[in-house]
Amino acid sequence: MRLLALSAVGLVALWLQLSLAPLIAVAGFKPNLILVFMLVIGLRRAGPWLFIYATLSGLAHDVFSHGLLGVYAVSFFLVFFAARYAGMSVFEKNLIFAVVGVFILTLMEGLISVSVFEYLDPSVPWWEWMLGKVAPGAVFNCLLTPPVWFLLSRLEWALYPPED
Amino acid sequence: MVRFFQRNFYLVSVTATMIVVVSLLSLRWSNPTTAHWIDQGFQTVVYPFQTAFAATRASISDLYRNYVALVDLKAENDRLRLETQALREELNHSVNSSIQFNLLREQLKFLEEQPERKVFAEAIGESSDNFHHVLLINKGRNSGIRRNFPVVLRDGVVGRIQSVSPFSAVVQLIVDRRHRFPVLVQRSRERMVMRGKGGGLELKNEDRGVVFGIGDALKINRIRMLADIREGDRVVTSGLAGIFPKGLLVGTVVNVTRERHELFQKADIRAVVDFNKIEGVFVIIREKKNPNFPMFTEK
Repeated sequence: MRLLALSAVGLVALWLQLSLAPLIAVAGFKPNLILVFMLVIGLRRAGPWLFIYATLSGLAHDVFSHGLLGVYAVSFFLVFFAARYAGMSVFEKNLIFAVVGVFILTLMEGLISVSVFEYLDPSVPWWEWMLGKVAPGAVFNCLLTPPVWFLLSRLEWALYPPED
Repeated sequence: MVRFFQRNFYLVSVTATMIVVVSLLSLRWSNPTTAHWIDQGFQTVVYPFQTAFAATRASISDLYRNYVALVDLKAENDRLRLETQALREELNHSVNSSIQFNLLREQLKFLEEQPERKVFAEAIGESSDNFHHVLLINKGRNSGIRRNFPVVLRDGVVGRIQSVSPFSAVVQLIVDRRHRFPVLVQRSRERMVMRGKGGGLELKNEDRGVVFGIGDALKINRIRMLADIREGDRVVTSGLAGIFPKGLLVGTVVNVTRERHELFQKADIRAVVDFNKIEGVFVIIREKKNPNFPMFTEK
């Protein structure tokens, strides 16, 4: 059941990224809803095996971005562990924590992927992309965290209702 | 050994996943041909999904346009009535012009003896991230499209085919950072190379000028100090890279920077094509016997 729900969540995230994100883009900036979904799941005390979900999400993002295959798979994979660690060590079911977490972890994901891009193509303007693309993207992502948070909370309650 | 794997199953799985992903990433350098095949494989598999997602995106847009954005309908209706009257008058003139056009076209037929075959394709998707500037089109290998075939619009150059699957192809826009191609300043015939910068175009002259994409504009750096380039100059393809035909309009120079202490000048180029509004493009199909067949493509 959990696997089915996760697959559905992954597909919904992908669908939203490809159909909704370009429509709500601000000044050409698209939010990264695939990453937001993955990070919110990671921050909500994800199971240890969800790194597979994170890697597959990254791979899907790689495929649909038509860039270098594997860049997002690597960055999502690494950021998932950071999200899970943060979720396990300091997480309380708190939306503000999730928003701040998504902001910081999006910056971290951007740092990894832009560094990989720069390593592979030294002409990539690292600072320009970090300040001009990653940072605004992180703000956009954290603004979209609350709806994703509530959606996943509802799903969790529906699948695993609280006992009391 | 087996016991080690059983005990450390999680650790082994995490390491194995990391190795697979990094291998996938490094494949492009170790074996580009295989990487292209993998890209094409993925592209073929995801094509139905991308089409379906594009359709839902269009539905959401239509919903907004047809139901939400009808606030000013009355005013628009009145304006359109007036416009219709004007257009009726214009139609009479157009019928006359059309007859003349047909007569002239007959005389110009000799120019069409060796026309470049073009395939029209609709844009059905774009990159899901903010770093790559690509378009997915709904025509592919089955329509004769191959890698590095030029993609154009009536206005000017759009990009080149980055990868192709049987039913779709990915167009790398000229504003993509990875894209660079030789150009000419139309007036002075100065050769340069353009590069995308993910938001614009940048004109460089490191090899006597390359235009570089910068996302939504173009820029050229390192133009020779003696090169004759001015604001308002039109920049066209030079045809030297063997991808774009010579003379296609790329953009207009909007700014030239000359610093006395520097060895080169820089220029910002405004692309003629509005990359945010592309709905369909033309792919120029080249036969292999054609001398302009791209040098870096498969059969």
